[in-house]
Amino acid sequence: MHRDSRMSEIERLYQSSYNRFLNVARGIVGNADAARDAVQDGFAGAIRARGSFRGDGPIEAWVWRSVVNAALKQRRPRLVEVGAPAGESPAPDEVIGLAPLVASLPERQRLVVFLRYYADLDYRAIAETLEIEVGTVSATLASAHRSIRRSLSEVKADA
Amino acid sequence: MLDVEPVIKGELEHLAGGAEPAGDWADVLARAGARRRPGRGRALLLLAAAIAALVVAAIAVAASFGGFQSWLSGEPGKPASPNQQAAFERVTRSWHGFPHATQLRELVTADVRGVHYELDGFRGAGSLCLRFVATGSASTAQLACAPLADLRAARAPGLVLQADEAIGKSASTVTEGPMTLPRPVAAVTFGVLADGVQRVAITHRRPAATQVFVAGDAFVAITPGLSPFNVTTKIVASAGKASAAIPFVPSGAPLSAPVSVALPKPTGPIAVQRKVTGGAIRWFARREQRGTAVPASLQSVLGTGKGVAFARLITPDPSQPERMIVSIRPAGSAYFGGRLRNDRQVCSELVGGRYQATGCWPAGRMFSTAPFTSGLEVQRGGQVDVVSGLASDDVATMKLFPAIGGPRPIALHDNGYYVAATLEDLPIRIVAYDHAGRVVGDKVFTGSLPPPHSFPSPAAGARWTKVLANKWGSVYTAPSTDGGLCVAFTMDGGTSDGCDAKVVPGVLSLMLGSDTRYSWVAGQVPANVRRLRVHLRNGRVVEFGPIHRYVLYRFDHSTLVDHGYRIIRADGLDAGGRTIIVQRYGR
Repeated sequence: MHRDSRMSEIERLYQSSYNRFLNVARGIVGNADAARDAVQDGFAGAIRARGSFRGDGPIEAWVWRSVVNAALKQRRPRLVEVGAPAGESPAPDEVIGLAPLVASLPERQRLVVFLRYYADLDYRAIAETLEIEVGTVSATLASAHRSIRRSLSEVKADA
Repeated sequence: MLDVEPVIKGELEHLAGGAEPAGDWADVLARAGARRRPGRGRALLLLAAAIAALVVAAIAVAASFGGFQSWLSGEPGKPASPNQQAAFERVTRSWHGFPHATQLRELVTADVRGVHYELDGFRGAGSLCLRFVATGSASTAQLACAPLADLRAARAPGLVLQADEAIGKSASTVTEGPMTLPRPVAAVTFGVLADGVQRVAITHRRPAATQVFVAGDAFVAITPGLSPFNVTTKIVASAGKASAAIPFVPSGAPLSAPVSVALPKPTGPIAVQRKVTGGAIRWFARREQRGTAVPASLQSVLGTGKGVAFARLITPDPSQPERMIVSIRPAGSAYFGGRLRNDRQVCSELVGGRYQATGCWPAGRMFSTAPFTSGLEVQRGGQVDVVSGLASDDVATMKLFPAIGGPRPIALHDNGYYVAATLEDLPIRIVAYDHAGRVVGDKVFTGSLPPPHSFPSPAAGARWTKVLANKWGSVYTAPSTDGGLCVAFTMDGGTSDGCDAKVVPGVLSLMLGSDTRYSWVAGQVPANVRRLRVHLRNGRVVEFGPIHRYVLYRFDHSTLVDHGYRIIRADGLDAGGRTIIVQRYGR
């Protein structure tokens, strides 16, 4: 494929799926401003490197990889756990939700959860994005489910 | 059992926030340095203009300062003293193939506040090296080398090999906010200069009295008692009325933002022409006795040697003094995104010469993503990076594409390779070719420089303010580079600091930590949080109040059981005792 037709494809992806990219980036970096920045950087990186795309997989997964990497680069150190969205002091029942549970998952599990449920990618696309085996995606997602299930059960028991 | 999939989907959709209008594509293009489908002619014109600008800049530097002929083919300075020559020969005696007749040249000598400084230099094996020695009330001896090719292509009138090396410890200390550090006797910066450079001026982040000595086409800048919180920010060379900055990698200072340096785009081919995966090093797999056995003098590199399955000493480049120890050994506690099932790692260690570099990779999948492995190691002085590693049998040749000066071949023998690069070279691209000359892999390195979008850090020159002090310690804050807040706390003489992104209302911005004696909670809470309730893993619950929105609380392990000291949850309570924020932490 010609470099400029790749550019068109990347632009189409940007226009059609911006919010999916933004949601995943927000999940990784923790706030909306940094997430917007990561999406812009991720797409810019994909454009710069489009000549190196070998066409042996979907370009979408390749762009996802660029955005995820940009978000990971931008993420701050996890000294602080964020438990609620900005600008609110919600009632405790609302706060004991999924965000802190997902935030406490190991990094790979978190990435797989974001890509599965925010980005709506299938296992193969997640594997392409994170450069891991499809089987690893499946196992990682199962582990994440187990952890979340356990934590949710504990929350229910606490209540 | 809970069916978590719909729960996760629903919750994440809820948390995702409303849809935003599509982002700014023009901004993406600007960040990519791309224009919307530029015409080929225009792109070529732009490229030609950029090249012309570089050539003009290089010619201007050469015209004003001369080249580096003295270093490339002449004899800078004067012969070193017999004592220094003898010390130099002792150091280089073990260097394989290094010409023993190499003469050390004395470049700069200086005496400042009871310390005698001497900078000597030599050229050999394709590199220039500076040997720096301090004796007297503080002492040190070190060697710093860089590829000679960098001087041939240099755009700047100098090459820095060491920035802000702290020499000795004085009796006094320096305190900046939460941190107290010993003040060095002096901080030293040195490098080589183009033939025509007459003066060098040094600027620090905060003013500091510096003496700069220029002689023998080299310079040494000595700043007695430089605060460890202060660093060199600019080095300028002058000749007559002309002056030009010498680029260098600034040293990091505690409690300061890492300094980023703008780099050009990497050069070289970016398209892989043949995809190879799952490569191997057959002689290694067959345990062939290539190279030589690892001599006793280098056995310490292999640690205790326990469990080492195979180790050989190879020569990646016969024209260079460095050797490489390659080994298969237990992975131990090494973590490669997971523990290794076979508990084996393959390591390469560069030894016996000017450069040091180490890398280890999981055995069995070291070539799973590229046909060569690579580890980057910053050399002492912070100005030279060495990339080294092993290439699979699929790789026939390798090339280095630096930012300046065109591609350079990389020696590759017995699958080992290494390459040294300075800031002038960065970013570098290392390209691997197969026997048909097709590109089979490439990697770009930007050295030790932090990425342009770094973590928030204390803003440049930020002053730390003490916001809380109690029986356990103190909490300090400083503005961060992203407009947020950095929080540091001191306890038992130790300091811990972290910078959050911009302060978020409705969130407990807490740092949690523990060592063998204590666990602690420190940080900031929103104004409406009047009490903090902390839940430990063992069921214990502790409540305490913030002071001016800051908290610092310490748990003594001796009063707790097992790992029960781990903090698993923190609640923020309002003035009426109602829980308004709940945050959970990993169990």
